[in-house]
Amino acid sequence: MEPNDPKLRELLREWQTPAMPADLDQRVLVQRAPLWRFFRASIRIPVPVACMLTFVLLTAGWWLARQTEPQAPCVTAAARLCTALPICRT
Amino acid sequence: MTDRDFRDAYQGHKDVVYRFAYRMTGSGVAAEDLVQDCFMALWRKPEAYDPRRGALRAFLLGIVRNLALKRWRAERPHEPLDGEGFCSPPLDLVGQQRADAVKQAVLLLPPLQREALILAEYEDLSLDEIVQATGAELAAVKSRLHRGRQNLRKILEPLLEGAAHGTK
Repeated sequence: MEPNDPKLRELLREWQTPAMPADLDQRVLVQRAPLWRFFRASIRIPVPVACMLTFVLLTAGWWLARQTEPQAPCVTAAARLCTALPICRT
Repeated sequence: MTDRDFRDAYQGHKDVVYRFAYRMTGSGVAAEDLVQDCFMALWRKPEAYDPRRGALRAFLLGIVRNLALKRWRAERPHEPLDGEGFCSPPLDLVGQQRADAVKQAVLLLPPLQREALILAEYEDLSLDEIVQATGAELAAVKSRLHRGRQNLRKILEPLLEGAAHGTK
């Protein structure tokens, strides 16, 4: 320490900080609430795991969508032929 | 840590933590974030504070110091923290208020010199307390303080000379 530099010290003291904003109290004290912490919580997932999860979810969604699609009525080959060929009567 | 303990710690130290954060960053918004993060760190991990190793004030200042340096490093990844060869010309004081000039000069210092100087000159911490807050060796703290003061004398030379001649 160099306590014998009063000029510098005096000059430095001319820089005062502003008062702490009052709403900061609220921010700090409220942020500790469990519910707030739950909604602000985050987890870190490695990119490969995230990619795989996305792929699995998309595949599962696609598969489920296919399962719930209405089944097409069973049409026999003959019936298809009937509808496809015009009937000519002489 | 109970809610009551936390509130006591917050009420007792919030101002010193805010002042230090403000002087380290030069920004009110950044200082608010640092205060918030500092007390959240205490709330989440109160066991990190060991009363046998020193006062809570120095512990909290140490947290803010680490957060401020982390922020500084993220903003300027290639600038050295210590800056042993740091050299700045005297400030051009035309149109500047004295307080603004002092602020500018302190913020010009390399972060490790700045933190030692702020803790000693503004917060009146003893050398031991600065050692505790910064986690540095006593010799390193003394050296940073010495160099910080030397640099400030150079940067603020016009104002110090003005004071010596009785002008404001």
